[in-house]
Amino acid sequence: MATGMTHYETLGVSVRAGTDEIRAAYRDRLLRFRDLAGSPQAPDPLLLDRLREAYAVLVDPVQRTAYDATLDQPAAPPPVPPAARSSGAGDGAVAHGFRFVGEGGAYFRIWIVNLCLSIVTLGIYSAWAKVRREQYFHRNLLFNDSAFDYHGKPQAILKGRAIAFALFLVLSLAQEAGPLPYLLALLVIAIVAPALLIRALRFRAANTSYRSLRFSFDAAYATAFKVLALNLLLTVLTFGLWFPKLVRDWRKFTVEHSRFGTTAFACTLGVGQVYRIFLIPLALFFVLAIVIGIAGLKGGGLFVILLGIGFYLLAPAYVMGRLTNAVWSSTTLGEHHFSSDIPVSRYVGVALTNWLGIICTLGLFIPWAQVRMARLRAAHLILHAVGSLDDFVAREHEQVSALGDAAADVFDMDLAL
Amino acid sequence: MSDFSVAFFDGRRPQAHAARLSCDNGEFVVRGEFGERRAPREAVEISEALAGAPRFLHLPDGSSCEVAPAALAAFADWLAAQGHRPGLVSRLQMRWSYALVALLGCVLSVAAGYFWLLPAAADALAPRVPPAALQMLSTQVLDSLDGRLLKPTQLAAERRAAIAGEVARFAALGPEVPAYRLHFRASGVGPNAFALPSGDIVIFDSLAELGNPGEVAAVVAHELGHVHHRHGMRQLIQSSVVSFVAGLYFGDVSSLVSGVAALVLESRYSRDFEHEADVYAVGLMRDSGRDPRALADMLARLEKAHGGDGGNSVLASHPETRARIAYIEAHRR
Repeated sequence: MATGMTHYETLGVSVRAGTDEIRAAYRDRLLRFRDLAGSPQAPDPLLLDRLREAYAVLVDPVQRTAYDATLDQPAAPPPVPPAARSSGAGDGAVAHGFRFVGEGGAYFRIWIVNLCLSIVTLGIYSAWAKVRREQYFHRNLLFNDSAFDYHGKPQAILKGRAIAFALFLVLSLAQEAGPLPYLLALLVIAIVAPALLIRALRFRAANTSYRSLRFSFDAAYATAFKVLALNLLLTVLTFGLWFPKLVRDWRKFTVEHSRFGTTAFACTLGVGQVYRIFLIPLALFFVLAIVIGIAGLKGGGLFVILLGIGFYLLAPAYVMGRLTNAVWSSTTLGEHHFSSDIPVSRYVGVALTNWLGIICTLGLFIPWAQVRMARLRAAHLILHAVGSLDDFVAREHEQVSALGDAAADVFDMDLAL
Repeated sequence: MSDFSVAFFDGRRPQAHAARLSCDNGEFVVRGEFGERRAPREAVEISEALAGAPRFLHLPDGSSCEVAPAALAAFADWLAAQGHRPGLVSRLQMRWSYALVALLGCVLSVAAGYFWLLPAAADALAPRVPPAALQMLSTQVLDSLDGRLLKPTQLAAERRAAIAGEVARFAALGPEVPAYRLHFRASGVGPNAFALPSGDIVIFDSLAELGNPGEVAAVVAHELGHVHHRHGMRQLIQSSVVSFVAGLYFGDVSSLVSGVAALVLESRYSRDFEHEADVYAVGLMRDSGRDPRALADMLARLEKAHGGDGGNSVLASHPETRARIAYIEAHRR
């Protein structure tokens, strides 16, 4: 933005111009910019940003006074929006942080009231509770001083939950009825699951918005089936050694089929990156297996149990923390890119203390735990913007059923982006 | 009429416009650089107050207004002045006193569900399960155990016949005694017997050798109590619901926690069932003219055979054997 032009020059007004004059000049320049936009003499797209910036500063008496003060010094630095800081990447990108401003105590009140209503209605109210939970976590996530929003309707979620619950019941009954019906039911679920997952991701994305623009998710059944079925089969055949590839393909799939308005997300996450994340837990697993084997022979029962529980708790938190960083840091949205730099020790520490808190309070700590995790994740997420962030465009949005969404809840699949 | 400062988004681009929101003749009006938008009040969706979270007004054309956290209190006042009343739940969520009432409500309703509603529901539901389904389920279980844990019996045919003869004397008492079938199996896991929902009762060789045929029949009377009260089916229904609910509540944390919680909660039910089966067995033995003490003696021997681990009171699937024996002694006559 260091153009050498003052905001007054950009708008073509004098330093003594009144607010009305500035407003008229801004409108005039904006119209001229739009007229020329499609023509051969198209102006520099950055001009639009400069016009907006100039107008925003000069029309606000407080900002204008502060800006005028900087003009008195000949080598005034270009004004930088307060929430932004330089990326340091040297690509001209400006870093914008995310902030989660929810509070555990406030969320506890919402959570407990809705939990009580859900119990009293034998679970029916849980659809309304879910909408409140999503709204709380969307609306308290701020980016550039604007919040995200969630639009899912409880009725849609309830319908989806009823169907998902029926599916769960059929599976349980088939399990009791013997191996053949169970295998048959599993096969049906395996065929239906990719479709359900796609609908879950669509429902979630289509019901999320930022600054009135919706997100969307769109993928073909065949693509999802390939990502899941083939990788799952290979994971089983290789005794889990293929699992990191499954994780990578799934994460890449969920990101790459998402859009904000008409702008697509992309993901360059490499297979090697994910394998490196799994390397330490996997090596530790084998070392532990040997240690536990020896200790078990010597009769160190309690020691073995503690070691096992420790690994069971720490390993998933370690993987989730590093995976979150890796996925976000390889995600782009149009020309802009993300980065996430949560220190792994912090992530594991928060996960572990959350776990302890929840056990010690018989679950009453759950709202605080969720808020702590949301804060940590948001505080380390950065969008490196190249150019203006106002140039996204909405697309015609469609209604999406909640069926998939509820299935994802019941079968406990992690759909976190 | 007073107006209110919001950020306006047109639904086409994520650009923030400063705007003034006002209410005029039953319509919300948004005015700013972009011009003016109007929508009837009932067509505008106002997002509910959720503590300090920013609130939105969604206009039917896809545009929206956002109220910053700092302006929330003033916005609530402004809405109230326009005659807009927050919903009941929305008001409940605002105060700590209501939250504490809700907490109490959760504890009470979970307790009522666990101690009263779920057992009552299982009790009502279990008799409705068709006998064919019970038979299929039980055959399934027995077949899978036969392959792995259970081996063919090594017991002499005469002893088996003697035990069956003692048990037959209960059946002679009438329709109160459920239909049953005795199965003898050898097993390496110590003396035991169990009943399947269909009335199939499995007796381990090691148990059959723990007493004389009359004493073994006392244990079978206890198992008949399980069949009579449909404990198998009721336990299945109750534990399915308990683990499902525990999974929903603790599922986010870990399956280990929800599994342990479900195990602890289910064990109370099975202790109740053991007591019910004891009561039934005592009645059956008295009615057939035998001393219920045979069951007490067998319980004592079983405990000894299992190394006296009955003291684990939280997870015990059999209540402390001493208490059970005391009950039998007190109700012998």
